[in-house]
Amino acid sequence: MNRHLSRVVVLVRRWLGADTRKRSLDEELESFIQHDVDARIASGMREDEARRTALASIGGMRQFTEHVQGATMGASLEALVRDVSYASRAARRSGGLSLAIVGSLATGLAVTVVAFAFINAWLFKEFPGISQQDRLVHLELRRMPDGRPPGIPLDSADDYRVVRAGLSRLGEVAATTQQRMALELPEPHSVLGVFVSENYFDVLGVRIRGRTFRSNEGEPNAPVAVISDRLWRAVLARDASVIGKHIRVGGQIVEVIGVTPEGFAGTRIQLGGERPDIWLPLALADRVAPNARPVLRADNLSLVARLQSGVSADAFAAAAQSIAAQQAHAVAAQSGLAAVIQIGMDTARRPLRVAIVLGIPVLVLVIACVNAASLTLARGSRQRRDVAIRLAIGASRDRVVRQLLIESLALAFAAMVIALPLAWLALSTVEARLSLPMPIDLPVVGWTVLTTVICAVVSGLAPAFRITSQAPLRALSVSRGATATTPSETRRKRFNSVAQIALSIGVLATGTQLIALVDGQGGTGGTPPNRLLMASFDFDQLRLPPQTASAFYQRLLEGASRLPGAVSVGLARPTSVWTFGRGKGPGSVIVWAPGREPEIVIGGYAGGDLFGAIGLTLLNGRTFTAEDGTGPPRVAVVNMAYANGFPDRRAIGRTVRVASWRRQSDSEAQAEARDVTIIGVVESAGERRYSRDGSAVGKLYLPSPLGPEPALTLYVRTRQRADDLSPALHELVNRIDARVPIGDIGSLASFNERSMGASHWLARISALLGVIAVALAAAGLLAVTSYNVTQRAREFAVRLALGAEPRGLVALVVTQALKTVAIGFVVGGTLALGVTQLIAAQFHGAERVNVSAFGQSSAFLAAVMLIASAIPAIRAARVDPILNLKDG
Amino acid sequence: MSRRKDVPSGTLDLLVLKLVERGPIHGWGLMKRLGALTDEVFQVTPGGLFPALQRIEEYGWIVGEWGVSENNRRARFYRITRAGRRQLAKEEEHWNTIALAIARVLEGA
Repeated sequence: MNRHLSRVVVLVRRWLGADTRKRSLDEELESFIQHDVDARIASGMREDEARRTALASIGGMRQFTEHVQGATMGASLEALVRDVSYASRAARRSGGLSLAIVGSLATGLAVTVVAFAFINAWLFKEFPGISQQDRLVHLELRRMPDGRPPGIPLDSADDYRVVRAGLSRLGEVAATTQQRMALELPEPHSVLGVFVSENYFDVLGVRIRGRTFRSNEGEPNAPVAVISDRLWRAVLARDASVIGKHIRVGGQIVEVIGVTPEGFAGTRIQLGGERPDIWLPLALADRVAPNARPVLRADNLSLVARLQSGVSADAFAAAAQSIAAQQAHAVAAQSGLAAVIQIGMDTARRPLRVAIVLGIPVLVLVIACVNAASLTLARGSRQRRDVAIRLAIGASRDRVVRQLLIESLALAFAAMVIALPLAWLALSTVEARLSLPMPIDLPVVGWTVLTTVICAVVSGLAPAFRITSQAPLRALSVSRGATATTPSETRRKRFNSVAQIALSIGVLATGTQLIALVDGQGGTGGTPPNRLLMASFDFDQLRLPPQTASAFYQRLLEGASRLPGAVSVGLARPTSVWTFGRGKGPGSVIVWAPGREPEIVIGGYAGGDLFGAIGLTLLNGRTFTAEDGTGPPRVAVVNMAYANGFPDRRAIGRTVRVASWRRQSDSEAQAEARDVTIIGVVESAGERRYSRDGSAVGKLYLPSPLGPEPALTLYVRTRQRADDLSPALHELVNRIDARVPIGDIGSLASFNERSMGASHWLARISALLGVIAVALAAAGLLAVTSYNVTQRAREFAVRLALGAEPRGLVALVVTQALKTVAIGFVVGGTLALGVTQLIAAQFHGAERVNVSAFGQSSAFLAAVMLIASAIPAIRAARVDPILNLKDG
Repeated sequence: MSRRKDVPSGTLDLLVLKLVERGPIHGWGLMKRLGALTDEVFQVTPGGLFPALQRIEEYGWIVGEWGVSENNRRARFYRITRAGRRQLAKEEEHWNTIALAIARVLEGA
């Protein structure tokens, strides 16, 4: 390579000093002619004749200078053109192997392009539509009862106002909180909405079509809203006159004043999570979400700030901390709590994230490159005579290496041309699922070109040196069709195969391990996740009276149980069976049990046949009867986990006091509590991510509501795929009350999927990459092994001629191949084990090793090696040895 | 049939380096010396020689310096460099291998 580099330097230098060189060449030629003239005069010519003949011998001064310059200047270009055309001829001659190289590299490159596009979109264009993102920081106000994180969020929106005012000289602070909202356009939609401080869009620097909120915005007499570009396109059909229109949000009429730019979703974007569609001023929160929901008590009021220029994040954090401490001190007069500020700079974890995302795709690319290198080497054995002849007739080794490298480059670029559209296709499939636009833009293409060149050099350089390393005499003296394989070459080939097997098995095992891990974190019951349809409703958003809600739910239960394919139907609060990462929110009850501390337990009202729908078997006692459901609750059913909390693990017959948990004070809760008797124990529904040891969380269910239940979820166990039932359910809801939107609908599988967000997709993509890796390795091994065995035809002929048994010969070849698989299996296994231990250490309840994926991929690769080695060996063993020897 | 032959392809660099190795020499002298040494069998023309000199100089195997020739004229004299000596050794070895191979084939035929 040094030589090629120096050649480039020479070309640049020549270009820079072209004039000086031309003058020097002119002088040198003049001197040359003068010497020639002198010699001719000395041999008896007249001076004028001597000069004329001398000039004629070079064909004229000017022409000659041009010839010399052209010959040297054009030489490099000509050589390049020759090399490229030679490369394309060589590629055509060994069509099959060249195609295999291109296919292999195209697959590896496509995977890498997708990874580049994802990283580019996710980590480097983090928040679409927001300007100067590096000046933004997130703040969190937390109360820390014991002075240590994580603590709990501060309760009051006043805290925000104090912090905002106190920090105004260092930066501008905006506040947001999001929740589901019912939108009437005029048909009902349930969308994610965000209440924001009026400076929100200005702090983020978002260009709104229309206008942003004014400082006094949100006055009760002029409610306004900004809607998302997505809502405007998909639901409002790009209505050009949307600004100034009035829409109904949660029963409140608001005027649309602006539309966000495409892709904008704020700064709290969860990959694969739902994107907000409407933004309202914080001052409207009480009117749009009027019920007990403590929006402004700020369970999750999140703050984002734009730093003034010249203010560092550290200085800002320090100032924020001291202001928060003062505020906490004021509050602490009653509660005795401390407060701190947490600042999250979003770029801090970027390198680690890039490494995590790129890890597996790069391994796949390495497998593809090893494939390409093995195939190039196999192709090289064919070319070896060619190369030897070229070396023998005077081509330098550097020249031939350069030639072979250009061949690799040509193949790699052909692969890139295929990889880019492939990647584009893959990206457009994933984009919608991750709700993240991932364009193949200039940086992505740049990285891809660089990767392609690296691939070409990595996969082409070693074989090129290998092919040209043999002395021409040896290469030529070995007859055609015979192997010129040296022991070191055999070792190298075996090393390549072992590396491929180990890497691909390792990647696949890791991918399937991740899937098992992510899926294991979701909610489970006895009903398969794709047979349980869940649909949530929220009457709080609609401002309809509680009686309307209970009548609606009654009719919904009856109607749903008559839907075709419905097996059993139940009703409960959205988080009282599984919480899907939302924690013990409004779906909990406080339970006072004799001999136990008062505790907040997930559960509450369980209407219809909830246990049947979820698939929870009754372990002891009985479940609810229709009679239990009339009037206030008198009985309760608990799960095994709750029952196990009693000293003797016996729950049946015990009487406990229960109250709905609304963050009320202890005395308030006691006042409204009721006695209920436990009549049954059911299995525990699993949700592993919330318990360190994988055990279930205790739950308690009641046959009738403790109070008004505006927000409930319908659970329908179905005979066929749960998602197939959703159109019928939509129709049913529409028939019962056309004003009611379905908040969230889907199978348990899809709820799990959404709650795991990006992890779900990253795990599946990793496993898919594992499959691609194994397929790539298999294709490479198949091509290379069968080619290598075919190359040994002459060796086999000699062995047969010397009396070897054909069967023994085949056994020998197959044993060698399987030995390679065995070594790869052990190395890959160790690799996978290491990665799995790492993953298992990070998560609760991870399975240690996914034995089945590991075993299957190993068996598959063993079968591939068996076929690749046995078929050509059997063929070689069948042919009369004399024929094979003669062919040589 | 003329006795004069073109220099075999790929060997001009070797011949130039070998001649320059013996001591500084200018273009015209080099052409004449080659003719004399090969008994006028190898014929190298200015059109072949000058591009070769330029190329070899660019590789850094020889350097050219202006001086005064034996008949008192200005001339550009070429001198071999250390890299040039290494290259010469390589090319000599390469040539010897080929010559031996060809000779063996001819003897064996």
